[in-house]
Amino acid sequence: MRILIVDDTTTARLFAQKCLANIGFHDADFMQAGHGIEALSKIRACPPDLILSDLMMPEMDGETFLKILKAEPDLQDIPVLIISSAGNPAHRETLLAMGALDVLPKPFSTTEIYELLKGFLNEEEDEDGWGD
Amino acid sequence: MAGEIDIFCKEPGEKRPREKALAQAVNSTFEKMGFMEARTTAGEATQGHAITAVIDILAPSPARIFFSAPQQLGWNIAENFYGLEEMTMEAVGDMMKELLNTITGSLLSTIMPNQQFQLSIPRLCAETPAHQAGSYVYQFNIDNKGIITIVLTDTPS
Repeated sequence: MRILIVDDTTTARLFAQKCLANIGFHDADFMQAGHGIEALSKIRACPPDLILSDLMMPEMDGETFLKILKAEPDLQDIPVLIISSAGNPAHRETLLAMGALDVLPKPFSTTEIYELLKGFLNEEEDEDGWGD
Repeated sequence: MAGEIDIFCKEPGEKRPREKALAQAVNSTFEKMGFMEARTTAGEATQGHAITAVIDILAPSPARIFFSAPQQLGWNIAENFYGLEEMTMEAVGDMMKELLNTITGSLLSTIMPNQQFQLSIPRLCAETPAHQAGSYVYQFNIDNKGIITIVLTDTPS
């Protein structure tokens, strides 16, 4: 499984990757991008199976990135989990209507991200489960 | 700021606006991201070189938040967050910006749950401002390894 993490800070990308590895995605191929433009370039070259994206980023923010991705027929089915510190219920509804898989507010725990992504673990065919 | 929303909710004579919400945001961020405990303290922060990040609240009303840690504590926190033994100054600064961004977003989501807010991209700066009118200083002890300082100011200067 290939997972793209889009965030402008290295800390956030590494933290998300560490959480995903802890919940069972330890065999995934992780890709990283610092903003929406870089993410779109990497996705077009090598489409991932799952995307985690921040909202507030330089160059191109997460909402614009989501809008462009969902308008591309070849890429629109890739699930995008939005992770953001700048969310509220109204904005969450907007992002869900745009096609986001879900919106996870920062800070998040390993348990919270597991609950949202456990369905993808079957695709990963991980027999160990998470938390080992 | 007449006519604008005071996000820090400062009543006349109140010296510690939004302290509970800020403590909750700091505790939650350190616990979930770094498995570290953050306790409110009135202790003195370690003197010496500090790393400071700043973020502007652009809407619904302008404000600025500074987040500062002694350099050694910054390194300790970064080691916890990254799980790496080898650390760079760039990585520590990056972590300070991400922590401030997360704490600020969590704080504003708590005090304005149904309102849209807009933040700047966090950045590093030379130092926290000297104590001044309209600013509020909060300190948290992190796992007994040192004290971080958060300064809320209601008008970006």
